[in-house]
Amino acid sequence: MTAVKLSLLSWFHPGDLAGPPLGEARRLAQDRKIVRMLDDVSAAGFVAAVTTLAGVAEQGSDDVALFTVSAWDSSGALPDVADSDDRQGALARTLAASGNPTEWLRTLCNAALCQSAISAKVHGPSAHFVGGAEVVPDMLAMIGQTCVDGLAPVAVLVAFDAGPDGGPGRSAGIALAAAAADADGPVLAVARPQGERSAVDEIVLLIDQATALDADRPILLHLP
Amino acid sequence: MDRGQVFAELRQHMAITLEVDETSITEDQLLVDDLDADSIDLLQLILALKDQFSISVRDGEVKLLLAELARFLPDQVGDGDQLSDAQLAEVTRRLKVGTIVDFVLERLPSGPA
Amino acid sequence: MSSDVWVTGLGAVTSAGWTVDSAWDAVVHGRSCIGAVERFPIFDAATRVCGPVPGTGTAVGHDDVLAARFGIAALTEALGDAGLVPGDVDVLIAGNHGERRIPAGDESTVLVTPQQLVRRLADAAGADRSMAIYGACASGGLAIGTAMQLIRAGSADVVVAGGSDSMLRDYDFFQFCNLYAMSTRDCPAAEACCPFDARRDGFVLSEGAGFVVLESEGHARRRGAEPRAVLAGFGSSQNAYHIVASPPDAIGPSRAIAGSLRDAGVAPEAVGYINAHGTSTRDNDWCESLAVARVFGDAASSVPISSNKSVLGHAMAAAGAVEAVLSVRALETGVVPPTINLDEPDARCPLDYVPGTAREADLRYVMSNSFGFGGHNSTLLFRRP
Repeated sequence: MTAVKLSLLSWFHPGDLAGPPLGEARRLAQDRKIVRMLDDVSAAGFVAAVTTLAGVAEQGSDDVALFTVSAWDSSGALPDVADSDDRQGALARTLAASGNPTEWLRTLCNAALCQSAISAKVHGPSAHFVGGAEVVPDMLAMIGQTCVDGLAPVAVLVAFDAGPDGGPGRSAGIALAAAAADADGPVLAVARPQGERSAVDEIVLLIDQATALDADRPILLHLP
Repeated sequence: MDRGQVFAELRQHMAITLEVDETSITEDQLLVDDLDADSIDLLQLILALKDQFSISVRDGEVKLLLAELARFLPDQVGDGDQLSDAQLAEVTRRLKVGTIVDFVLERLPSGPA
Repeated sequence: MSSDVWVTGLGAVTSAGWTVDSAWDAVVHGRSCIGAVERFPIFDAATRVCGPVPGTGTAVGHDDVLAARFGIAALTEALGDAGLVPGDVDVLIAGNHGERRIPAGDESTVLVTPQQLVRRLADAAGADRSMAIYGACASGGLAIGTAMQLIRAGSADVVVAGGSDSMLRDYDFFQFCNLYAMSTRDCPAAEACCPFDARRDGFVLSEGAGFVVLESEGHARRRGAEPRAVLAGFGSSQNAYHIVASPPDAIGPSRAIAGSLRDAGVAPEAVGYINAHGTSTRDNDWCESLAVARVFGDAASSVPISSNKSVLGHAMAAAGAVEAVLSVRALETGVVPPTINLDEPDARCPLDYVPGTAREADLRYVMSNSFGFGGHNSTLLFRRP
């Protein structure tokens, strides 16, 4: 078991998404160059990231770390081709001649992270993780070490996934900072998730548990 | 196809890609400074031109495309096909909507009207 | 946690072959592994060259997951090199893009998602925990840096970290064509990839896998293992500039480079060799050179910096991990591999890129850079034990 002392500075709950993700992303970004790189799932991640980052903007540092996690994979779209005996050949010829670069770039799984960083102008460590709830405890350990090592004063962790029945995305985010070694706060034991669950649900659980504790003092996270 | 038709088709594509009001686009506008286009927008535009006007643009040519577009600028940038990075950036900055119209007209399979 | 993080095992599959030795031999001797695209028809694509893993050629099955084959082979080599067996591993962290190919019928284009591939690799490593990390072309470097952080945090003692990728399939090859990101030079295939050269015009797509075994010093000592290198520092940053373009001020990459030095507690002058990201794109190579100059100052002109991609091509998410493996080999042998095809210097790339011929050097620290689409920057700093 690893003990990490982290302060929960701000958070974004799925219920905080005020409308369809792309519309909310458009409202927040005010920049078509950002929104063109998002779909209606990654846009939810963008909204959570930008909102959570805004919650720590007064820290005044642009070395904030940003990590995202999602099982969302939208790659592999194919162009329309006429019926033929050689569909594979027809697809290949069409892709070779006229694939759409913007549509392909939009399917890269770090699209939400990249556009959030551009929008919020954050330059700290960053990476996207493809996965679900099971990867969150190790991400928290990594985040704790990122802060302890001085790589970033604050780290934001955002999870997003497709909504029910593959609908518009849902998302959750938390902003964390390392607490002093002698900080004395309540303990939150993070269990290793079982089964297949979205990372969004794991972050929501963390937010709910943390906010139920005394949030004025750093929370000691016990990681599995 | 005459100049007016090419411009009209181009405006339609630009309005969608650049999210601007189609009627506000003029041939004198700079793609970058006035219409806020970036490298990805130019790429999208080139692909739209390939499809819409049946222009042959091999992907290897795109790197030379900017050099070729430079021929249509009123003040020559560089000489021939070999432009430095700084000159290519200069060409990109000076590209106008009308420059693209000139390029398309020259490349139409049937020739300009 | 005051003990070091050791590198105790290396594994690699590249366009040079299915072992670390084959990759090292090729880069040290400057023997290009680039050839014509033969795996699938490319029609009128202006890019005609690539770096396939030998033995794949045209005989790739429609549903073959090449990244799984490469990844399992590389991590198996790494584990064997470390004297470990599957099941000894706490966590497997790997970067990859997933794998796709153009379908023949109604089946999906996607063969595996990144998460599915990493789970296959974790099964092969006998690791209960796995993380599929993504930072585009920086993924391999980020995987290794993240592994170090888990060990420093006390969350793991043994982590297999790296990357495995095959985007050298028809679907993704054509997507890169439509981005106009790859080289289209009219020259012999072996000369196409020319990092830092004035004629460079894009990367050459390759494939493969690279893995290191990272171990806490305490765990390694207890089992009597020796380090091949010490992972002394890790720097990571985000450009926050553009999805594909490099930042004109090179501040993002220089933050990662400076961060790795600060993390290791060493000055730039201590670095004996920089293993560059060096993709042979117009953007990256001058940006990386500027970033090195910003951080190294006067020392920039005397530190050798070379690109393995000039020989192997760009293995995407695997590249940073393959190059980490080769950085450790450089440390061990005291040999700096060359950048090949550097015949016409570019005024914007003024550093010592070790053109053409390998060079001996007394290396105490070797730095490995990886920079990716989406603005990710990763720098690893290895120390000789």
